[in-house]
Amino acid sequence: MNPFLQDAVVFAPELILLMGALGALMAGTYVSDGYQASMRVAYITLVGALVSLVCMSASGEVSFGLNFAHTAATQFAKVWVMMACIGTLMLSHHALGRLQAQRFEFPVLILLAALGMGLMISARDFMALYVGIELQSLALYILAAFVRHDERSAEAGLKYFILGALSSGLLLYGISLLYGATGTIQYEPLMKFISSGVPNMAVTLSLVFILAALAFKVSAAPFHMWTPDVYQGAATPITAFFTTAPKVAGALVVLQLLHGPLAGAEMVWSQILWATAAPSLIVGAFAALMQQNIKRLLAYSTISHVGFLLLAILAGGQEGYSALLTYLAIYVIISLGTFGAILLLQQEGEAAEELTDLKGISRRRPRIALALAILMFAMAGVPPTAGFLAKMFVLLAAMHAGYVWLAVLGVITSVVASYYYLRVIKLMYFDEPVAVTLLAVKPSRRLTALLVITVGLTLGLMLAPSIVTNPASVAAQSIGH
Amino acid sequence: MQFPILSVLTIIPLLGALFIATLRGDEAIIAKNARWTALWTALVTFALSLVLLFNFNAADPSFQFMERLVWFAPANIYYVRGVDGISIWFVAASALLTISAILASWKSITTRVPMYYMAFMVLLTMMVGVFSSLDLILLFVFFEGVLLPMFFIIGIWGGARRIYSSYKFFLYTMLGSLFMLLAMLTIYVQAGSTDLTALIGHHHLPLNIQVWLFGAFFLSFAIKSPMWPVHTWLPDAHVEAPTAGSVILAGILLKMGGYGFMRFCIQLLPEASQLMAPLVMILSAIAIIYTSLVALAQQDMKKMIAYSSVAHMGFVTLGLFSFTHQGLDGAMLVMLSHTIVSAALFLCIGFMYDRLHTREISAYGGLASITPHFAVVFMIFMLASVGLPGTSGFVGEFLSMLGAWQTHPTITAFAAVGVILGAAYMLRLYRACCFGVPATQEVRRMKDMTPQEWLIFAPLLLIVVWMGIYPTTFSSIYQVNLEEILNPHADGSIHHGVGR
Repeated sequence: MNPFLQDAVVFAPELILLMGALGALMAGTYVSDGYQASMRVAYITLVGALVSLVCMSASGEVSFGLNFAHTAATQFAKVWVMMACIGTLMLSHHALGRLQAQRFEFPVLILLAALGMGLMISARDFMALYVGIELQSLALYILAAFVRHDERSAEAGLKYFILGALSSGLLLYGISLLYGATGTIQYEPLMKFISSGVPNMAVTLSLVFILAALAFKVSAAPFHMWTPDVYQGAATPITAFFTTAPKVAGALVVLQLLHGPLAGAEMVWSQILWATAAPSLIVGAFAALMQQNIKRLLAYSTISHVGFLLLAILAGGQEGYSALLTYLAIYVIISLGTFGAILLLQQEGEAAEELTDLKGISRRRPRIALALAILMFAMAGVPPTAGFLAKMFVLLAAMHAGYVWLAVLGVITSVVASYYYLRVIKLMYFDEPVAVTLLAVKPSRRLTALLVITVGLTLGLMLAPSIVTNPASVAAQSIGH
Repeated sequence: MQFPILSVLTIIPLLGALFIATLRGDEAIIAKNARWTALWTALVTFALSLVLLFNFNAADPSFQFMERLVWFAPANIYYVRGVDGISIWFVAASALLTISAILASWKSITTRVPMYYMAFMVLLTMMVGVFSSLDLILLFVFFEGVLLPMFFIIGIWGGARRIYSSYKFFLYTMLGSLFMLLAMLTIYVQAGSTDLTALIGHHHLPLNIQVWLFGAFFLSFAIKSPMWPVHTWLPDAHVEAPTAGSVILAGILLKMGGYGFMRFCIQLLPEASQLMAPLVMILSAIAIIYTSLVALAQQDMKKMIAYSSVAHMGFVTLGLFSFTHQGLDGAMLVMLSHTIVSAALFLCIGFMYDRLHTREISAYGGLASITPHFAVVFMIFMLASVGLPGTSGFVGEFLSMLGAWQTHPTITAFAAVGVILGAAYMLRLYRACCFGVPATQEVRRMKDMTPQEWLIFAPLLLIVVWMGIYPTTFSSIYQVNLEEILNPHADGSIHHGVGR
């Protein structure tokens, strides 16, 4: 076979995404109802990419020189990125309509972001990684500012862009330092160069810069400052997108870098990771206690989840990898569900912006309230919900690797964090309802379906956890050599 | 494979809850149907648990009615169910007290009725699950799962400070149980299994690890049971919970602490438990004396019974950590007796509260002449709580002190003071409520027991007297298990019958 075609086969999901993005752009420009058309193209593209991903054998091929790899782990991560993208599209229909932001650029940007994430995850070369990160980041900056006429959205986009550009600069600086020290930016030769022992100063410095930049991208403390503002400012379905897909891609990049080419420098990066995991857990738990806005609350909740993700990466080993992947999958499910519940409430005429808007909502909307309550318990990691499984595997890996104190910190911050999740439930169930005028609208079928699926999985994974844990442990075996 | 009776027992209440969720129609009709569904579900569960009891082989110390399925394939965590002589009683008691709880809320709960009974059904599932799970992770899921329905029961149908109390209950217990989770994960890391049947008596962890694990388990169960000084959530939770919530809380939820001490501290970590026994016994003695004194000062009846529960659970830990046969036997009997008696006392308070809507002791008086039947019933349970010979309370307290005396006489002597204090506060409560002059005109108009209330109290009365006169019926079932705990190597082949 033609070598280009061989490469292209490995690259099929990304190629589909690229074609789809261009197709959606065309559809948006030339079809009379551009938004609907490009939306449809985006759905088809994402499902096509998902199918091609699932059908591909994951034998660890590399393509385009040594720049991209396709392994079971990248496959697993990309599947969940696609799921998050599809979920976001399902969430967005009514919300964007309400904000008068149903423009055809939205699905295009989602597809481009997904393409960027695919590149990030598969990259085996720092240049390819950088290109992937930038592609997804640029799409995300525009998405943050997507509701142009809303000041807060514009502010969120600008803030995200400026801080994001800074972190990209840090990343490039780190990469060039690494290049200066080792003479290569490809993962495989790097792995040989940084094989063991104490790395030299330049490598250490470059590690600090690279990890700081990546910590910014996954909103880990102390590089989390942008998160609450951007989450609050962006339109709700876009916030849901920020919460899910970039975190999957970012966590996978950190995992594959640290347990791949940089594995030899574990002495250095384990300290850096410690210094971001612990603050993330603490900030995520304590700063959220004072929040009044639902999206800000969820932003801090994300930060605490990222703390757990970093803990899993820190723990490492087969257990750590599969714990991370399991956590990501479950996290995507419960996050999409939570945003689905909020958007469904908003679609039915509830405010659901501030926490107090949820007062007594269980009387008016018993089913959505129940779903949201289950998802909140899942976020808090209380059994019998899938959130417990996620946290349990991470704690297990941490205990196994000897990070007992971080595990204890994780447990204590989980108790603190469960206070604010309980507060949501308290507002919905224990408080008296406030008077609102209800809209007589039919609940959106897409949102309802999404909510039913996510809540079903949140509970059902407890009965059959192997649906996620089996692929995760298969994927874990492909990491780290 | 035999009939999976334990799984069926766990699922039935859940199905009941789902059925209640599907009820449609007029609000009053939904409420009525929800009540009856819950009652029938609990009755069926209780009947099945009796089947379990009658088919139980008391001569066999191993776990019975075993079920084993793979749960997490890569991690080798199994779905293992089974009961022994110790846990089987708590399974039956959970179902029995749920019936009492449902009957007790028949008229008093009028808001959001279907949800209320759904919460109790889920609660029953979780309780049965805790006492019949033999895998650490599975057990943890149920142990923690108990918090969810109870959080709603206190938070929605509770009293004035219900929100504060429900938070305190949830967060306090969650803190303890998450440390227990870490301990369980450590066991898994160390021994490679979370299957209790494979762990108990087979894996001897190094003592320094055992001590840490003991600390984590102890924190969790000390909060749950509760022990001084981590008992402060209990009075709040009890006072604010509706009557039925208090019944389950005192009757079953506290026993999860005692059961956990037995299963995890004493059976799983025997060396560390021996080492820490004096400390635990001192804490128990402090708990008995301190909380009895606090109970003596209470004006609120529920708060008083709540503190008395802490004191009674002190006798449980006192007996357990004596590591004598009498001590363990006594601890079991105190738990079983307290299950029935504390539940019955909360029902008695519920009886008074339903009529007068106050729990102030001083608001009552002269009930012996106004509601004579009730006064007799109340007296029997009150005396059982004090530990009068002939009632269920006596045997257990006596045996646990007898056991404790053999190993730590000084501590036991202090604890014995608690028995006197216990009599003091219970008699004070009874005198203030039943003798003297009625505090107000409303008290004079109180109605005596209705047939339905007789129905609630009758089975509990029967058990209290039965256990007082012939405790062997209850204790014979778990004797071989106690032997097994005290002499784990007497017969090394015992657990092999149920190994993988």
